[in-house]
Amino acid sequence: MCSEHGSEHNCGHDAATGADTLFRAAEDGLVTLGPDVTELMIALDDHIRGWARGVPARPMIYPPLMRAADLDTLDFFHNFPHLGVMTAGIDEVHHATVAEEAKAGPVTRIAGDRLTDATHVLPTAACYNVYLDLRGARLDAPRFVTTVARCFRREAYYDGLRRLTGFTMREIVCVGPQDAVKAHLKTFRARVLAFADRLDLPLKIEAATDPFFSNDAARTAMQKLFPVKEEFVYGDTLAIASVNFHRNFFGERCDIHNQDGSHAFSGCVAFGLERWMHALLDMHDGNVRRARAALEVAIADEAAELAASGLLPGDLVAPPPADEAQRPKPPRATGGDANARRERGPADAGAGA
Amino acid sequence: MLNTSTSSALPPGVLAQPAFARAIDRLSKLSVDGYYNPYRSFAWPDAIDPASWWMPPELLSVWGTDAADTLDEATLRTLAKWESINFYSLNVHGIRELLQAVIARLHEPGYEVASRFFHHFVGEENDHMWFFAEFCLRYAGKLYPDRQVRIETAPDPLIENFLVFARITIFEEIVDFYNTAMAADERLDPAIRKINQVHHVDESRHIAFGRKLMVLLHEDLCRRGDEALLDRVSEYLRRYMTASIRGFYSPDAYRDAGIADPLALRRGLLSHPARAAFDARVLRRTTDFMTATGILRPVREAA
Amino acid sequence: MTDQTSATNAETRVVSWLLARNPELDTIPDDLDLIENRVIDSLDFMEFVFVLEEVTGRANLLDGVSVDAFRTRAAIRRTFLAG
Repeated sequence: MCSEHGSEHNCGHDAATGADTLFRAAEDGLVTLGPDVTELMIALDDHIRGWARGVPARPMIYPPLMRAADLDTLDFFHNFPHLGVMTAGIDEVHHATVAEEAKAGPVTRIAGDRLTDATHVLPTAACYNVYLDLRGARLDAPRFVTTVARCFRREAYYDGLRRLTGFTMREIVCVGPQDAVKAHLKTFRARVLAFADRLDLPLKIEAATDPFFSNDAARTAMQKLFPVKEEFVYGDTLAIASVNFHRNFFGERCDIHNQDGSHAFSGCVAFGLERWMHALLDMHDGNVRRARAALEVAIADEAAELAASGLLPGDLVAPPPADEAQRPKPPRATGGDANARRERGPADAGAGA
Repeated sequence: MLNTSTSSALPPGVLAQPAFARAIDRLSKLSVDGYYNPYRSFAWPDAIDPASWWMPPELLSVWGTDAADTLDEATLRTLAKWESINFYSLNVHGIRELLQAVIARLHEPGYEVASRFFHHFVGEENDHMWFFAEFCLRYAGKLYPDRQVRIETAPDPLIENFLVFARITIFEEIVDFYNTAMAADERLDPAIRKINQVHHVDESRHIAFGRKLMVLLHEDLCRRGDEALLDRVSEYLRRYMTASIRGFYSPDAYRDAGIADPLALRRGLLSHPARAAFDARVLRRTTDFMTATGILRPVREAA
Repeated sequence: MTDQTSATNAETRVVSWLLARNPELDTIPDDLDLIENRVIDSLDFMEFVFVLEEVTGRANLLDGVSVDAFRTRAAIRRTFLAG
C-alpha cells in the first residue's frame, strides 16, 4: 500500500513501483488526485448527495463562470476584492505578438496590458449561483437546492489539500421562510456532527464571523449576537464544512420572495471535499484503504439509524446532538498570536463553507 | 466444554479501539430502543392470496430470460410463492449457521467489546429465524431443506475469525437487497411486506456491525504481511458470494411451481447473461464495499 | 442403451465437471479422496450434488447418506451410479 501524500509525486500509475500515489500538490495550489483519493472523494460526495436527495433538494449544475456584474450585486467586490480570480482573453491586437513569442521560447505569463477586460470571475463559492438563478422568483414553498462547484480563490499561500487555488465545494441550500432555513441548518448541523462521530473524526464547532456583512456596522453587531456561521473544524485549524445563515441578504439582493411577499431567507451547508480528504487521510496515516473503510462503515452505521427511524417514526427523531461534548472551546489563550493560523472555510467568502 | 476456548479467541487489541466501543454502544442503543416482541408484532392473516405476487416478479430467478417468457403468468405467480419460501428457508438455514459461529465466539477472549452487541445479535437473529419459519409453515406448510453441506476442515483460527464475519455480512447484504425491495412493493401482501421491513431494520444494524468487524479483522490479517494469504481470502469470498447467490436458483421451487425439468432450467439460468447481470446487481453493495476496502483483491492471472 | 452404458455416461459427466473445476488435474483416480484433496469443498458441494442429481435423474441424493458417499470416485459410483 502506498501511503505517500503531499509533495511532488506521480499520482498516476507509477511504472516503477506499480503503486498509485495518492495525490500531487504543487506549490501554486494546483492539486491532482490519484485514483484512490478520487474514488474516496466521489464516495463521500455520493453520500452527501444522498442526504440532499432525502431533503429533497434539487440537483443543479450552474455555469462554470460568474458575471462580474452579477457578483457585484452581492457586494462581492466591496468585500472580497482580494479573493476572486478573473478570467480574460488575449486582446486581439496582441495575438500575433504572443504567437511570435511562443514560437521563440517558453511562455510562462501574459502581461496584463495584453489581456481583454475581465468581465467574468471563477466562482469562489458554489451557492451564489443558486440565488442569482432565483432572481425575481416568488417561492410558494422553501426551495432546496444542491450543487457542486469547482471554486477558486487567490490565497496568500497554498498547502497540500488544505488550501488550494481551486477546490470542490458541495452545498445544500435552502431558500425560503426563516423557520425553514433555520430548521434546514439545524438538521444538517446535527447530521454532519453525527456522521463525523461515526467516522471517528474529531471535529469542533466554531462560530465564525462572516465578512460578508462587514460594510454594515449594524449587521456586524447583530451577527455577534446571533452567529450566522459555524464551522466544523478538524485539527484545530481546518474548516472542512460549515453551516451558514444569510438571513434575507440574498433574498433582498436577488429579489426572491416568499409566498407571503416577504424577502426570502437563505442558508447553506457547505463541504470542502478536498479538505475532507485531507482530514480522512490524516486520521488514517495516509492509508486510503483504511480511510475508505472508515467511510463505508460510517455509512452503514448511519443507515442502521435511518432504518430504525423509518420503522418507528417519533422514536428516533434525530440523533442526540453529539455537539454537547464538542462545544467550541474557549478562545485559545494565545494572546500575542493574533494571526494564529486559522484556515478559513470556503465561506469566508461569504456564502459557502 | 474444554478445548474450545482458544480456537476462536482473538489476539488482544484487535477490537480494542475506542471508536469500535462507541459504535457498539450506538448500535446496542438502537437495538434496545427498537426492541420488539416478535410473537406479538405480526398480524398473521389466515391465508395469503395464492393468486397474488408473493415476491416481485422482477426478483424471480427466471426474470429477464426466455424461460420467463415461456411461463404463463399463473405459473410465474406460483413460482413467486415458492421462490419466496425458498428465500425465507435460505434465511432460516443461513441464520442457524451464523448463530452457531457467533455463539461460539460469545465472551471469548478478544471479543469483549463485540460480545456486548452479540447478545442483541443472537436474540434478534433468533427472532428472524422464528418469523421466517413461521411464515413458511403457516402459508406453505414447509421449509425447504438446507442444501448446503459443510465439510469439516481444520481452519486457521485467525482467518476463520475474519471469514465468519465476512460470510455473515455478505449473506446479510444479499438478503437485504431482497428485503428492501419486498418491503416497499405494494403488490405484496402486507404481512409479507412487514416481515421484510422488520428484517431490513434489524439487519441494517447487523450489517453496520459486520462491516466494522470485517474491517478490523482484515486489518489484523494484513498485519501478517502475507500477500498470498490475502489473495486466497479474496478468492474464497468471491466463491462464497457465487455459492450464496446460487441458492436462489432452487430446483425445489421450480419443481413445486410445476416446471418440468428443474435442474436443466437451473443450469440454463446459471449461464444466462441477464442473470449474471442481475446477480451482480444483488451483490454490488457488498462487492463495492469489499473492493474499496481492499478485502476483495484483483484476480491475478496465473503466470 | 444399457444401464451399464448410461452409468458410464453419467460418470463421464461427473468426472468432466470435476476436471473443469480443477484444471491442475488430468484425471480423477478411483481412490482419490475428493474432500481431503480439496477437489470439492463446502462451496462446491451443492453444485456437485445437483450435477449428480441431474445425471442420475434422482432427487434429494443427500437424504440418508453421509459425506463419505461423495468422498471418492469409486464411492460415488457405488452409491449413486450403480444400477
